[in-house]
Amino acid sequence: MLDKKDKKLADKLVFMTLEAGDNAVSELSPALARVLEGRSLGQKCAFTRYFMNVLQRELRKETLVIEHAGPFDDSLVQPLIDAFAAKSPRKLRIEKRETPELIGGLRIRLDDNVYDASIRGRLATLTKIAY
Amino acid sequence: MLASLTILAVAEATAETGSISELLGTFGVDGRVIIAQALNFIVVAVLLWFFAFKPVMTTLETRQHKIAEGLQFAEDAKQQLAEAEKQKAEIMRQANTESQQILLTARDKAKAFEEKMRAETAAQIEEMRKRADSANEMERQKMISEVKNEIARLVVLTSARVLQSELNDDEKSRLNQAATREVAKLN
Repeated sequence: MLDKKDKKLADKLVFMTLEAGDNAVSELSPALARVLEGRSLGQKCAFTRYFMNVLQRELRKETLVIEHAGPFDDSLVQPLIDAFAAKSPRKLRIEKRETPELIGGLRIRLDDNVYDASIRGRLATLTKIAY
Repeated sequence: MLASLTILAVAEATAETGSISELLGTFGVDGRVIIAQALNFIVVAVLLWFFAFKPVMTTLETRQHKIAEGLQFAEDAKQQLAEAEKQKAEIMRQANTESQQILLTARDKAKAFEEKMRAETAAQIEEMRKRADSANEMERQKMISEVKNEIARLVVLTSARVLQSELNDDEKSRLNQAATREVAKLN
């Protein structure tokens, strides 16, 4: 278990990692190594696990997952980024996934929110209404 | 009486011929004897009165009284009998009336009970029928709902399969564009 001080330290490292963007690995690796220095293996594992969890949670907040069926034109990405930019504190990352089971349309996920504009989603809604 | 008349006739005849005393003496009439006989008669009469006539009269009166009492008793008994007969008739009449009344009441009660039981039975039958109807209706609605759900599921499943196999890339691309516009509009 991490104490409050370590948790704050991990949160701060996550914040710095996100701010560093693509240069995060080169800039923050020494800092992370220094933080872990002198700790026991268990403490290192706990700190790293906590750090990764927070990082993944924060990354989910700025990752726009676009699930699509069939060809997806890159020109459609910008309107989506514009539409969701206000919902994220940082620049959105785009992650595209081919999901044939959607049949057609898109399913967009940002953090814990899902926006379903797919044929599969509409059919699911139709099924719920019919039930 | 005859003797007196005879004496008077003799006396009248004597008066014509002599004095009365001589006449009486002739016939053997003595004043002392007559008085003694009178006294004897009185004594006998008194004795008879006290020892014969009076007890007989008393006995007669007693019997008369007893007979009168018996008659009165018989009359009373007759009246009592008549009264008893009358009371009996009255009691019989009242008993008959009461029995009729009881019979009527019992009949009315039996009729009311029968009506009540009939009404309760009818109500129970109606209630059972309603429950059965309700259960049938619920079962029917459930079946209809299940059929609807199954049809909807099949329709959706079929639609999904048909769309999945029938949509080409152009159509999918157009769907993606439309979805993009829709999502952008939501935000």
